[in-house]
Amino acid sequence: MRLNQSLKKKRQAISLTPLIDVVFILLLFFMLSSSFVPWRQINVSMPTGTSVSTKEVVRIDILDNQGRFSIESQEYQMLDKAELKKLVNQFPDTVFLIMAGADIETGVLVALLDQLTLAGAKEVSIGAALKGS
Amino acid sequence: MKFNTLENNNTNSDDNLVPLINVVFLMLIFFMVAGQIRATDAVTISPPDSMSEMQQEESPAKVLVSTQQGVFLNGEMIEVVSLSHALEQLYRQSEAKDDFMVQVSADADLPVSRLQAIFKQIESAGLTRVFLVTKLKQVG
Repeated sequence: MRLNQSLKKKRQAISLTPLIDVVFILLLFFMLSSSFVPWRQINVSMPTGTSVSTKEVVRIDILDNQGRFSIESQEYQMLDKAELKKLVNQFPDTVFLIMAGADIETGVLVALLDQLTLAGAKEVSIGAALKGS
Repeated sequence: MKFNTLENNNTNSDDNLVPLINVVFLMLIFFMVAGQIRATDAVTISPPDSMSEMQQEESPAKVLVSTQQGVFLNGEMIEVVSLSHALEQLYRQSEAKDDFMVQVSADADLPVSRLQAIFKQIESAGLTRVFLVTKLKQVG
């Protein structure tokens, strides 16, 4: 009963082809299903009315999609960082309420919120613009 | 100059694949570790950029507002007027009512007026926890 003795002499390596098949399928799955977009979210919840803020409210109106906006009929440009900083310092401890007309794009609204926060504003709300009140 | 022809023929042909497997394994590990697996949306939305620090959470009510393709609630196309009713139903069915929140994903170029219609519906459903989905802005 000495069959296959010659085969055992040199150990046969495992065939790698099935392994590669499986690994390729796994790779395809992960490449197609994974996303690298850093998703974030912004809170637009309205206060429920129980917490009455004593802070002063400054109303900001967005004038166009290029980033012009006005406060108390004075015009500003969103991308002018120095001016924005001056503006925020002018109104410390206030809530900035962003309002927008019907044809303003959502992206501009969020960009203005960002710029004001960058300039140091503590509370900026876009809820009023979105709720159209 | 033919050296080792005999030995080369004897070796396993799979040996040539080892570098390939190394690379493929590295790519596999990269995608497994770095990528996040999430369900794909019904339509592609290009949300506005923001610098918000708040990570996106899982929400029981996902509203997609596409400029071109209309409004979707949890992957199903829906009319704006029936959104309020559908949200109320979702809220009634949900088990964690205190944690119930609505997530709105809108295209960056969507006019605010269309978003206002959506928010009116959410408000009339009596829901107050609402979040707008954005992408993290790459500074540079």
